[in-house]
Amino acid sequence: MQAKTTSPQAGSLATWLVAILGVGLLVILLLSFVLERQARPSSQVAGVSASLRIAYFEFGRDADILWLANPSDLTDRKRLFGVQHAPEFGVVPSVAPDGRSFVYTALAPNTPAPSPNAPAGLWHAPVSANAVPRLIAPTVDLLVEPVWSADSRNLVYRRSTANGYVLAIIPVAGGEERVLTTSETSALFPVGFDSSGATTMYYVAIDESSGSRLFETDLTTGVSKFVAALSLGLTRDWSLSPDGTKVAYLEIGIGPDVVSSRALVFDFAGAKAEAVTDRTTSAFSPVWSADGDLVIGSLDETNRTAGLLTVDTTSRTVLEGPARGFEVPLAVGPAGSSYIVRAFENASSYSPGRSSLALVGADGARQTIATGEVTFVGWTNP
Amino acid sequence: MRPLLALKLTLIATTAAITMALQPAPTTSAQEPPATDPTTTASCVFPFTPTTYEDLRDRGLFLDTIELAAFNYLFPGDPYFGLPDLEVGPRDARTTVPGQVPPVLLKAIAYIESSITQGGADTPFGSIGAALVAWDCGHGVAQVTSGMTVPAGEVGRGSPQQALVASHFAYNIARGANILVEKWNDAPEEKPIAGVDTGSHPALLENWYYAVWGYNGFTGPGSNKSNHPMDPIYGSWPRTPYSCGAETDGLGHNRNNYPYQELVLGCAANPPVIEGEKLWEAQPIGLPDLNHPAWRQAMSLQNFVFPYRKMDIPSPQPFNLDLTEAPDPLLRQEILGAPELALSAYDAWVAYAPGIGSTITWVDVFNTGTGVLTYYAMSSAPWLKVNPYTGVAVGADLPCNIEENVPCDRAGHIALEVDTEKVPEGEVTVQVMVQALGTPHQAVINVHVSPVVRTGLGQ
Repeated sequence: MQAKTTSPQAGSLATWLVAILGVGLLVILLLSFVLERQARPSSQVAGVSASLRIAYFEFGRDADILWLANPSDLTDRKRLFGVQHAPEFGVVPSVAPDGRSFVYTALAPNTPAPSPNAPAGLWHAPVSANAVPRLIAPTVDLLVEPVWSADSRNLVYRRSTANGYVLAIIPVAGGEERVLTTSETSALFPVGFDSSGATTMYYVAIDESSGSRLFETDLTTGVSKFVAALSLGLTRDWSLSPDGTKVAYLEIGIGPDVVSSRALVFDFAGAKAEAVTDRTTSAFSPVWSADGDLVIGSLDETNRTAGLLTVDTTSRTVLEGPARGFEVPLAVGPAGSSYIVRAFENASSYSPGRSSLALVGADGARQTIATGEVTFVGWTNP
Repeated sequence: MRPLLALKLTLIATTAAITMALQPAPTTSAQEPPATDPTTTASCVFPFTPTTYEDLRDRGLFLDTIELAAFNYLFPGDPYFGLPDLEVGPRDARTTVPGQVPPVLLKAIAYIESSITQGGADTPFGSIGAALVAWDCGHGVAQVTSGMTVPAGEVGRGSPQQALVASHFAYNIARGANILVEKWNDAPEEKPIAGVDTGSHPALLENWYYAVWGYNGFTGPGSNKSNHPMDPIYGSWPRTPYSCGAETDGLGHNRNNYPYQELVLGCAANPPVIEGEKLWEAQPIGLPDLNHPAWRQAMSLQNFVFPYRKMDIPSPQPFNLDLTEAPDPLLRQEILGAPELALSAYDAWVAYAPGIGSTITWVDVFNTGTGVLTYYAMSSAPWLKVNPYTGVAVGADLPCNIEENVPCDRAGHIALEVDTEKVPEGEVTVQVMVQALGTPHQAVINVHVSPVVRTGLGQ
C-alpha cells in the first residue's frame, strides 16, 4: 500500500524532477543543434559520414608518416605518427574492416642491406595520434598484404620458408599463430574470409604449371579445397565482394597481337569466371563498393581515353577519366559515390609518369589528396 | 619478528621492483618500433664479423674501383676475381668476347645492394670497422652471397678468397663483377637471352636485363624474392619509374614496388645525389615494353620454366650505350696500394690451467705500406684459437676518421688463446702464420704455450 501513499514533500520532489528533466532535454536539444552545425562541413562528400577519414602513409626514406585527411575538406589533414623502417623499404598496410585500426608489415630500421625477402615484422596499431604499434608476428613476408576477417578480429599473412610458403592466422588481440595452409611449389596469396569471418578463408596459389588457382580453407579443420582455376597465367589484385559471393581480379592476358590486363569476376554460385572488361583496354585494380558494385580502372592506350567503370548486377556506367593520364581505383567511398584513386599523369601503363592520390566525386570532380609517394591505407573511422 | 617482517616486505618490494625493471619494455615509441632481429636468420661463413675499410661519403675510391672492375683491370685472369669472357651471339651460335661490364650497371647494382658501402651501419664513412654482412649472408659493396654462406677453407674456416670478399672492397667489387658476368653467361643454357635481334651484344645496356635480374636471383612469380616484372607481389601497378635521386624528383623511391632489375636500371638513369653531387652521370636504359607482345609474351607465366628458352627477348628500345671511358690502368696500383705486413710481436706467450682456462695474448697486425691489407692467420695447432683470424690493417695513405676527428686505429688485432681441453701436456711452441692476402707477404708468430701450476690452500 505504500506505493500509493503520497505526501506534500513527495509532490514537491516530483515537480522538481520534471523541471530538471525539462531543462535537461532543452540542453540536449540545444547541444544537438550545435553539434550538428559543427559536424556538417561546408562541402561534405555526398553520403560520407563526417567522422570518416582517408588514411595514407607518406613515404620517406627512413620513416613513413601516417596522415588522416578529411574527405570533406582535404586541406584538413592530421599527422598521426611515423613508422621507421629499413631505408627505402616502406610499410605495407592493411586497414581493418571496422576502420579503427590497421596492420602493416615493415623491415626493421637496422636491417643490414635490406631486401624484399628479408624477414619483416607484422605490426598492429590503432588509427590514433601517437599510437604505439604492437608487434603481432615476426618474420613475415614484407610484400604480401595481410588480410582481415570481416569482424576485424583475425588476420592472415604469409611467411616464406626454406620449404615454401605458409599462410598463417592470428588473433589481432593476441594469441597463438596457427598455420592454415602451406605449399612447397605454389606461391600463396591470401584473398579474404567469408562474410562471417568464421568458417572459410580464400587464397590464390600461383605456379608456372597450373597458373592461378583459387582455394578455400576451412578455418576449423584446416582442410584446403580447390575452388576454381582463375587463369592459366598471372592474376593479381584479387578482391572478395562484401557479401563473399564473388572474387574480382585482374588477368594479365596475352594474345597473339594484343596484350592487356582485363578484369574478371568469379562467381561462387555459378562456379565460373566471366570477364567484365575486354582486351581492347587495360583494366586496373577492381574494387568493390559496400553495396556490391565493382569499380575498375580502364585505359585505352590507343585512343588515350580512360575512365572508372562501375559494374553492378544490371548496368555498366563509366565515369570519364581525367583530361590527362588515367586512374587506378583504390577504394570506393562508403556511400558508393566517391572514389579514392591513384592518378597517373601519362596515358600509358608502360610509362605512367608521376602519380598522386586523389578523390574523385560522383560528378567527376577531382581533388588531390596527396602528391609524391604515398601508400593508401583505407577509409578509417578513428 | 617485526624487523624480520619488515625486511621480508622490503625484499618482496625490491624483488618486485627489480623484476618489473627487468621485464621487456611493454611499449616502445611509435617513432622507433622495436626491431625484429634481422641478423639472426642465417649463419654465414665467418663466426665473427671481419673488419673492413669504409670509403669516404663521396664513394670516390669505391666508384673508381668499380670502373676498374668493369673493365677487368683489377684482377684479370683470376678465375674468382677476374672477368670471364662473355658469351654473345644467337642462341645456337655463341661466341666469346673479352669480359667487360658497363660500369654504370655495376655502380647502380652496388648502390642498390649496399649504398656502395663495404662496412656495416656502425662503421662510419672513412673509417675502419665491422664489415657489412646482411641477414642472407650478403657481404660488402656488391652484397656477394654466393659462396659466402658456408666456410670453404681448411678445418671449417672461411677461405682466403672468402676473407677478401668480406673485408676488402676491391676484391668484393671484383667478385660482384665476376658474378654478373657469370649471370650473363648463364644464357642460353640456363637462362634466356636479352637482345636476340642484336646478337646479344654486351655493349647495349638493355641486353643486360636478364643478367641483372639474375644477379639478385632469377626467381619468379609469387616468391618474396621475385623479380618478375609482372608479379602480383608488387602491390602497385602500374608503377612510376624508380629513382635513386632526391625524394622530391617525382619518381618512385619505395623499393617495395619494383623488381630488382627495375631498381638497378632506374638507379642508373636517376643516380643518387651525395652532398649535392650525382655519383655518376644519368644513364637512360630502356626497359622491356610490357605493353608490346614481343616483350610481354616472353614474360608470361607459362614461359617461366627452366631453361626459360621462351623468355628470349629482343633488345628493349631505344638502345643505349655506356660511354664511360676506360680508366687509367695505373689507377689499379693507386687503389690497391702496396700493403706491407708487420706484427706487434713475433713471439707470444700463452699460459693455461688444464681444464680451467687460458690467458689471452693479443698480437697487432700493421700495414706499414699503403692501401688495405687483408690478413689471414692460421695456427699450426688446432687447439690454439686465433680470433678473429681475418680482418684488415690499413695503410697511412687512406683517410681514416677524418669526419669524427678522432684517432684512427689502423691495425688489426688477433687474440691467441688455448683450448684447454685439447692442448697437449707440457710446454710447447706452435706457429701462427699470418698472410697478407693478395700479396707475397707473410709472417710467423711463435706462440709459446705453457701450463700454469696452481698453488693454494691444501696444496
